[in-house]
Amino acid sequence: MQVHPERHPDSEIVETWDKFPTAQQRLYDTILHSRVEAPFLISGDVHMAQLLRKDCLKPRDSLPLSSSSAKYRTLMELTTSGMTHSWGTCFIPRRHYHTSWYGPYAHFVSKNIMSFLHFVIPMPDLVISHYYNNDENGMPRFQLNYEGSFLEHGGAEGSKQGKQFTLDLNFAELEFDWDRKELIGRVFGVNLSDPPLLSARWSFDQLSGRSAFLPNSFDLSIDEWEKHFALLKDGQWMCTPVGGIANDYQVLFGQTLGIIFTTMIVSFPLFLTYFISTFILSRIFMCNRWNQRSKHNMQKKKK
Amino acid sequence: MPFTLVRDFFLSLSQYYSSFLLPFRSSIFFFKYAHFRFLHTKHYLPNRITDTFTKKFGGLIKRRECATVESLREIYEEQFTHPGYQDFLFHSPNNKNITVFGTIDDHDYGCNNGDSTFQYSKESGLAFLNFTNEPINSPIYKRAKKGLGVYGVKVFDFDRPKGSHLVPDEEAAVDPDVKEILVNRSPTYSKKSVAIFVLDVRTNKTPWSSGMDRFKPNKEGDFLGGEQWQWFEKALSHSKATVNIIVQG
Repeated sequence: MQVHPERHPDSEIVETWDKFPTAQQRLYDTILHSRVEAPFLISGDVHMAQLLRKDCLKPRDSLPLSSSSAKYRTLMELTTSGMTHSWGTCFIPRRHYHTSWYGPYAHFVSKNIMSFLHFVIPMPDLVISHYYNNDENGMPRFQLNYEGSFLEHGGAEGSKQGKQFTLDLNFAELEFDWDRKELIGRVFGVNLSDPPLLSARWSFDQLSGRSAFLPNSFDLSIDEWEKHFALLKDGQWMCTPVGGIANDYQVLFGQTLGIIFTTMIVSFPLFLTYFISTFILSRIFMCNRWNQRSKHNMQKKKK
Repeated sequence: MPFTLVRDFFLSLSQYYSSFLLPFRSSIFFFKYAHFRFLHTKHYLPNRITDTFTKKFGGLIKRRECATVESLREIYEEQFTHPGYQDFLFHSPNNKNITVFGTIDDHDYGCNNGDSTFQYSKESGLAFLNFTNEPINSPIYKRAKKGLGVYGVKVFDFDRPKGSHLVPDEEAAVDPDVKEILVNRSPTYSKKSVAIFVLDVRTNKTPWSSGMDRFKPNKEGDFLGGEQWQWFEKALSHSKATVNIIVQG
């Protein structure tokens, strides 16, 4: 069950920890209060792989309230699931959906719906690699770590750029680089000769809160900070998605578009057969207005 | 060198539509147990949806029910005797003493979106632990036998020779249910150590609210239950591992 996301409101459809906010808050507090070295979350359940990040802040009592005076930690979460089925094969995990004649259709529908939803519905907790995040001159906005590697937001080792999710069959690996003191997270697909589907690396210091992560795109005014902190009890951490807090209207808009797209894509093969058959019939019977006009034009040209 | 062997292994398995990999470097693999068997999926669809269908179409659509002790045993036995899984456990040429451990999510548990109201929650946990060959005297097994859920922690020390990365529970002294824990004792494992905490989000979970309430977040809902929270807090405070990984469902 995923910890970070705040997705679809129906708990029977999308199970996440935020459906029980008290428990979610307690998990964050437990992990961050315990002062363990390099905590890292692993989850599953959603039939795809995702890399998620939340930035947690705790106000300090003695200092005035602002984002710069607060304690700051980042919690990464790697979600992996589906070795035999996923959204990329077919969401419905029954064998006949994969093997029967309508298998390709089921595959087409489930894959396209889910990729569309990833680009329409705001998912601020989803990590985006900085491939797209260039400045005016087309140069990467952030400095590279070392040896040209800049990998805490994924996209390492020839893996996917942009939004860090994959719908293919997958499993995850965590490698521990003891010399560099780094944790490497990879998500592999079926074909291991290909580069990993997702790949990112973080230093132990970053995960423990001793050195900084890439800046988030989360920028609130002091008033807004105060509003959020007022909701917290003493000693609680406030964890916010890396991309900020999603606007309700954005979510509504995204979900509406998602529903429209779903109905369209489910019926798409029907429309396609309709257009092809009408086209063929019109060719055969020549009773179409368009055909007559083109015939007329042809005759004109000949003259 | 590592990848060639992995690839061949993977391809031979993919014929069975089920696959496992073996760890080579100091790395740990995470699979979703629930999703690698098609068999589990007979407990799949939300009962809410199937109920309405069965009312409308009578016997046309079979109702999906939660698992029983019998069906759980069958499922795990079929998976355990699966040639690919047997290969992974016993015939991996490059890897001795694989530690398989983990926790349950709804489809291992035996009930889609399952929670504490599932009548075989304890039996389900034990079936899973028997499948992963958890020693009977380990704290994880003892807790599951009490019906508290499948949760625990294991520490791996990658400075030790290959095949014995796993630090025994008493030596690791992270699990608060193991006897003789001295809190300020210096750790017996090296700096190259990883602690993996697995949490059970099903056995003690509050049921999702029904009706229109299920669209609202439930502030009183809980995933882990009081005992598991206390255990988790204590275990985290005992851990002196370099990397701490928290796994659930």
